[in-house]
Amino acid sequence: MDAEFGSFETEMNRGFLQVLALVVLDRKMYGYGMIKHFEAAGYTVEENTLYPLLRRLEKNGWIASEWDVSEGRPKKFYVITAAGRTVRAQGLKVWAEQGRTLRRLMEGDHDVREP
Amino acid sequence: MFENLETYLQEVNQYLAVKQGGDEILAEIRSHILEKADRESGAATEESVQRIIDSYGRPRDVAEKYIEGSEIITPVYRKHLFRYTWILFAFHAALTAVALGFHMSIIMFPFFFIPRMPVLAALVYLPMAWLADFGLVAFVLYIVTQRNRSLNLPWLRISRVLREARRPKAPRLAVFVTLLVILVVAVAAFLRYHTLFFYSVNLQAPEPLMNHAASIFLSLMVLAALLCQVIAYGVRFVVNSAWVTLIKNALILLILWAIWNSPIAVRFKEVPGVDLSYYGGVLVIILISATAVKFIKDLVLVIREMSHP
Repeated sequence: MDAEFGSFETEMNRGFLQVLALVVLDRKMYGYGMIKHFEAAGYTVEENTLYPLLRRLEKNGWIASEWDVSEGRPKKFYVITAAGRTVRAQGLKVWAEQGRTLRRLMEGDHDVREP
Repeated sequence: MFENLETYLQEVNQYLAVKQGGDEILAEIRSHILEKADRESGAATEESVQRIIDSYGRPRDVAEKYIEGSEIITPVYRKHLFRYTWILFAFHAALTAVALGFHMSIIMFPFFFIPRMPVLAALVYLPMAWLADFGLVAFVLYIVTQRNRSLNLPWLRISRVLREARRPKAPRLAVFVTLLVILVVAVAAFLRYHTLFFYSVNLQAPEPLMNHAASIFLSLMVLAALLCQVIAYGVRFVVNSAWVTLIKNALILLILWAIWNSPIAVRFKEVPGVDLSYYGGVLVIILISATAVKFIKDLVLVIREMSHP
């Protein structure tokens, strides 16, 4: 049951994490910093999930990256692009609409017709 | 540099089938693990790095997350893979039959290389041919997936034909009686004239079409084929299965093969302007081809019967 829920949770988180990443990348951040930032907000994300996701977002042109080698250890920083902002706005709209739909259904405030 | 970290990254790289940016992915994982070890243990050591590696995940799982959605062959082509393989194999098997019949090699680069071989070797060759066909189709689908995975490949609609022809049609008594009469007449003719091949139709003194020995041999072969036909048709009144026609067509193929490889030299009656040996050869090739096609169709039906009894 736990394994089944784990898979279900992973599916749910997939889209949510994309929106989260686009939200926090309004300012330049690197992977480890993002994970800590999410944790401070009460959301845990596995590192081996975040990095592939960032790569996909970058491939889509929604975020851009650059390596910073000014400190001792090189770090890859990410920031949202203009295309990413558009997608983020649409994603937030979808997410809000889904939340409203879920609330309406759970509260029974909907028009159900028997087929 | 930590040896355990580099070993781990090498293992990730082993599974990391990405076209570009593989080194950058590894560099980012390296940077992350070292920073986390630094922050959580004060300074990165072999032990602290190993702890982070253990929690990061198995190399295979880590790599898998980067290549999600980039299948070798897109799953929607799975049925195409088998359908195309069987179609290609049908051609392959038919050409193998031709190669056996003509004692020759057939090369159609890069699709087929059928060496000259005896019948027993063909039994070993055909399963390997299926695997080669499977590999060829898989390779083509791999290319299609990598180049344009949204391409709509043609779906050859043989399934409907096969479904309708799944069980052979019910045998009819009139057809069976006709076949039986033909067999009886042929046997009677052979017993009386020692041949079934006539140049003239003068019943008092019919003129044979070929030399005596070849005439007897070929007539016996024709009678054997007719007998197979009659027995198979009769059996279908009891068991109307594709197995029956499969075995019948296999036997007829053997008979045709024996005719083609006749140990007795055939000398046709000389007819001005007509090369009878040429037309005889063409007729046998047509019969072999038609029977081979029926045999392959029966084979597919039998496989279908076995998988959906």
